[in-house]
Amino acid sequence: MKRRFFSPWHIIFLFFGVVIYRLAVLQLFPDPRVESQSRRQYWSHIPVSTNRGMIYDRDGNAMAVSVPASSFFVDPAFWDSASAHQLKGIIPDPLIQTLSKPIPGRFIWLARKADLEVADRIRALNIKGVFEIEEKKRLYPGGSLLSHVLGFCDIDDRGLSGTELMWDKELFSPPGIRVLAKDSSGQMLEISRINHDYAPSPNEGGSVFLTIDSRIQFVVERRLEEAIREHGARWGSVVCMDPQNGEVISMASWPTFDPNIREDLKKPANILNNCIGRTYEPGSTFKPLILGVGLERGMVGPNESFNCPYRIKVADGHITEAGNSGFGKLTATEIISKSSNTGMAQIGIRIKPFDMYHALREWGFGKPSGIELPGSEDGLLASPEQWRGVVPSNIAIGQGLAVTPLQLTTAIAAIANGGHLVRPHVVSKVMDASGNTVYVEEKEHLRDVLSPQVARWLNRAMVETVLSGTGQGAAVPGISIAAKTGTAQVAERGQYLKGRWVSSFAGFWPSSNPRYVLHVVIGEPSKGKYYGGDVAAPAFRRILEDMMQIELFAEDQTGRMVF
Amino acid sequence: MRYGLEVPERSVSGSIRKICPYVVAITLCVFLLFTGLGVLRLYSFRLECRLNSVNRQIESYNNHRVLLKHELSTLLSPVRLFGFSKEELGMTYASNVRVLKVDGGYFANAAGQQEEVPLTKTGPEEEGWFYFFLERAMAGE
Repeated sequence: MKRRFFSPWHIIFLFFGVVIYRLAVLQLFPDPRVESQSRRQYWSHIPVSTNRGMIYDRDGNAMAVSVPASSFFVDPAFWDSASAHQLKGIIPDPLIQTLSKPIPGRFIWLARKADLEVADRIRALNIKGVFEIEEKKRLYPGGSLLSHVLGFCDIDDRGLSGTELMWDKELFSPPGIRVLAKDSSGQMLEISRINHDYAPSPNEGGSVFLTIDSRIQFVVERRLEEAIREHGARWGSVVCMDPQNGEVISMASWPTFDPNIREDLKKPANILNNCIGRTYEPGSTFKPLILGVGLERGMVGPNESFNCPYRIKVADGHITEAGNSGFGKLTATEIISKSSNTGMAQIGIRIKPFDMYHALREWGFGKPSGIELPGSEDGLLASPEQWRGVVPSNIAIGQGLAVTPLQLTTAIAAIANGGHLVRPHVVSKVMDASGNTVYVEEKEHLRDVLSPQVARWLNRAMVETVLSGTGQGAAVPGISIAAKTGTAQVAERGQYLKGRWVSSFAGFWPSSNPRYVLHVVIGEPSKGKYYGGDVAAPAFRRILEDMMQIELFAEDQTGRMVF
Repeated sequence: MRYGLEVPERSVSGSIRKICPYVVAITLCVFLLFTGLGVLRLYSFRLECRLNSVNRQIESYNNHRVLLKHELSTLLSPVRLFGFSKEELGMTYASNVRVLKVDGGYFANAAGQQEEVPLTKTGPEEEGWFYFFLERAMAGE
């Protein structure tokens, strides 16, 4: 008897078995080509900006934040060119013309990080083919306040200047990937999908804490602009520093800009930080430093007197007084307080060029200041081999070399704190995206440039300047101020220009235990007055008075009144 | 009785009965597995939607927090405060301030002992001078 092994059911089962097997293989192990094609067809990966880290002032006020903003793009696959005219008046005309023609590709920006009003108008039109995604926009709540120190970013939130550039690595948060799926009608579905191809990025960048006091910054900027307009000046700068630890409390530059307004950024003069990026001849504000060098090296006695005529011949040139007549016999203190050029020139001749050059290098001139801001100039200090003829005397009166306002402020701070040169810094702490502190300020004592005795002597001489000398315009009742005026000519192509001056005033208070060093520079006043005592000293006084008012009524962070 | 074509019914039905339950069971298992797979896929979609919803909520709260920080900074901006106090409130600088210089620190603590008051945040007092403003002057007398 023959057994029938084969059954029609076997064929059916075999068929289904094959189908199930293929189904399983297609579902569980799809062909990579099919997978990538479906991804391309149904998913769009759009890089979008995440929260850039914030920048705070010393009291924890946010000076730079990233806020949500809407961006719009067009998918040409769903776009009708005839709809372009609806966007007239909302987006630029060249873009409308582009959209009026057939567009290649699958993505074109319509409006990036649009203002609320523009976003609402585009949304209201509800045009097919226009899609919206959320990005982050960099905003500066203070407007132009502290703009040069903060800097600004590009459209993709990369820092381009100032603190934004210097600490971009910590502030920047890599763009996230937003996955957009499309249904059959072209509607976008926003789905945040964790994709193994892309590493997840943190929600925010790090944080930078500055040493700047935004209240003092405000009064400084306001008074600087006031002085600029009053005297018709071309540029100006003010630096306020704590002489004990080098913290920069305020740094203002004019002309200024608002980083929220992109058009402001087109003018290079506006975005130049004059405090660190502009060099100028310091003039008589340099005299205390030279006298300090002379006293340290024993070239000048503290009680020595000098005959100061109106004009003296030095090598191949002449040094003349700023006024119309000579001073006669002056003590070393009076040379400072009355700002005698001929007296100072005689002191300058006594110091060997080599010694003076190296002393000035030790003071920080002709080299980087070390501040954590990009675009800092080193200044110009010729090597001693080139100091021939009248050059040493010129340098003694603050001409023939170029410094930045910050360098001079740091040098005056050394006089204020007893002879210690400290590194100026504007950042107190930096934290990365994970909350770890990656940088903490340290009071960096660079070197001793003066002995305490010489520093105290210079202190008293500068107090005399305000009490009875050229700096009386800065006197404030009840406050002992030590300061020096400066009036320097502007040099161009090796020659001093007639009628162009830089007026400056540098000082500290209270002279017994200095808390603040303030340096005001007004570049090229054009309304008649140009002496430092007439132009910069009044601005110094107004800033000091405003700072006193802030201290009078302000509370520190523990709630105590600060006197 | 047909010659050559007779198939022992008993053996066929027996063998079918032996094979079919296994096949049915395997088919059922495979079907259940695929059904389970489908259910898992659907459940993962549901979880993904929930995750997206939670992520959106987190993002929304983060954005709100940032907006509040921005608003706070704008409100505390010295530019705004100065403008508001001057233009809206008519405030001016205090002009009736009197300055009194007192030698040394004379603040007493609760036990009545003399307490050394530091003059400045940055360094120790050197000459014993500090300034403070009379309360009467601040009160506007």
